[in-house]
Amino acid sequence: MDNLKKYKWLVLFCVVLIDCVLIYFQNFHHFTSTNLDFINRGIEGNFKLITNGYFGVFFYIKYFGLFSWLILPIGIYYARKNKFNLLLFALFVIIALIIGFLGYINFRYAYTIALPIQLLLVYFLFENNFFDDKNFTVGFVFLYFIHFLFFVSIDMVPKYFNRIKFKSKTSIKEKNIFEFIEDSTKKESIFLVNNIPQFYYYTNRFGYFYWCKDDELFLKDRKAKLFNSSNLNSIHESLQQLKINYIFSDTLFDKYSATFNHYLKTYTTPVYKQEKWVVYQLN
Amino acid sequence: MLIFCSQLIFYFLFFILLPFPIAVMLNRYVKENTLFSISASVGLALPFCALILNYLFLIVHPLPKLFYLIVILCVFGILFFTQKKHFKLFLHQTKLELLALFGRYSLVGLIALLFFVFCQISYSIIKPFTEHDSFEYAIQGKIFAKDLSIHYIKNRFDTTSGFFYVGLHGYLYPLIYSLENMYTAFFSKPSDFLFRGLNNFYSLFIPLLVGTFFKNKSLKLTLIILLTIIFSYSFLFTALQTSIDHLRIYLLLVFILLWQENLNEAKFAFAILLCIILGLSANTHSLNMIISCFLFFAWGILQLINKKSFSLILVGLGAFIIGGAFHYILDTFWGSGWIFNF
Repeated sequence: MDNLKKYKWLVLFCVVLIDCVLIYFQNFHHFTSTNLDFINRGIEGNFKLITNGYFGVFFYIKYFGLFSWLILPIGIYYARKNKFNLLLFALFVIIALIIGFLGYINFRYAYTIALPIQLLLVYFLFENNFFDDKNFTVGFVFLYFIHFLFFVSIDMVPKYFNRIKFKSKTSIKEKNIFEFIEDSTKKESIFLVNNIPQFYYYTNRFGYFYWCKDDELFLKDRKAKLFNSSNLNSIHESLQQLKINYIFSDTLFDKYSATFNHYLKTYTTPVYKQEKWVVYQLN
Repeated sequence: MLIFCSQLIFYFLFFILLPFPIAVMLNRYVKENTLFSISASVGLALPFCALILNYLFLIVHPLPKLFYLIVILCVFGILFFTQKKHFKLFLHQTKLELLALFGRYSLVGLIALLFFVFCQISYSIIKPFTEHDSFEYAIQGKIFAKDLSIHYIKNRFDTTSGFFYVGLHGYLYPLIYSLENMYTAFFSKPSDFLFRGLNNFYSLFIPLLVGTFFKNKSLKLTLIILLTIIFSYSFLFTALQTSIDHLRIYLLLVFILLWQENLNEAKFAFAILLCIILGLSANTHSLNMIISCFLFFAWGILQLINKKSFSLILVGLGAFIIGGAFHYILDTFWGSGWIFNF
């Protein structure tokens, strides 16, 4: 085991070097992509798709830290020691790969297994006597801390201040969008709700659940395609047949479907807007 | 004030009183680490109550809300009664461990922890409910609390609101919401403070669980692990959201750590307990179901390698299914088809 321990500074150097490259390409390099969903989820471009998506558990630096990828070499070295470690390590790697390839779209899926893997890594390093050296231990924790501060300051703090700025601008004298729906629409009004479950939580109106990205309308007995035709007039008729009066959508979601977006601009009038949420009335 | 008090009673019930017999039970299988038994059980009672509610809504429905709450309390009452003889030893061990760990600072530590819990409750009351998936669980939970029943049908369409539950996951999260909704309805207007603050609580339980597990191995290791968890951006990011990922991660960790603690334990009671925890984890999310299947497979393989009886694995499988995996079987054959419905 001591064989590995003597390379500890080399390991730390490799961590810093590889992570600098990953941090640059994952956060500051511009990758072009037409897939809006991928851009919003930070997996646009092949490099980000592979490192943040498929192999996100090991290489998604922002969320899973500087050391995650280290579990692969250290784990392989250490897992030979006993049956349980080998089994656990092999299991985690298989699960991480399955999650990566099936659930690459959402970092939260990878996070399920990333936390146990992080624990396993620290445990392996400890068992390999890496932390016997006080300087190495301080360096290790310090790198974690710096990395944490870095992402809090570039990612979380700006979002937080934007929210405060927005709230201070809009909260005065403005009615909440759900109050608007409750107070200003008729009780028997029917909505088409574009993937905003909050509608059902805060209002008592009836709304068909719809998701424009996949063009899926959820009806009582089946799922239906609503915008598969390019003829906007026939789409409008279909909505009228369902007695839909309003569409409640998110401007961010609208962009996922060109036909849906075009329909909103042509056949509806926005009657209320709050942040990115809009209530459209059918003309 | 009434809301705050009712919430306090709720938290006391689900995070202190009901986990107590579970902690006593776990302590019999955890060697010289009572604090780990406590931190492993503190977050188990709530999912376990949701599981009982799941069965009640499936089998006996609809009956008055009070009936369901009484049955849940009765189940824990029985558990309490069966563990009664171990209480004294458990409390004594807890006191000794706390004294050994903190010395004369135990009281300060306890006050700090209570203060933290107080802050958590206050924060959960003021924090906004924001996360998309949490809303879906909450709405489905509201529907369950209204219907007081669960049916497995192809399209989970609510005819009164038009809501369609698109999630393919187990009902553990929605039922935690239903439980809170039913409980708070007795005090005032139904509220969702626990559900909103659930992630905050489990964000506290995870470091507690991991910390108490490693403390016997090395305090230095414990400190490093705790620092790496706290200085992890994903942990902070998830802890501050309404998203309830930390509950499912907590359940997975309880299984893994408890299993690691008792690698060679071949008692049927322990296998049942362990696999019920794995089942609870599976009931939270489809992803956890897939991970749990792998973990169960690994657990089974290890039992075979260690030449344990095959009936132990079968009992474990039964406990895993009863603990929560049953949802996916019912949903596959009689419900939405789960992930096989293309």
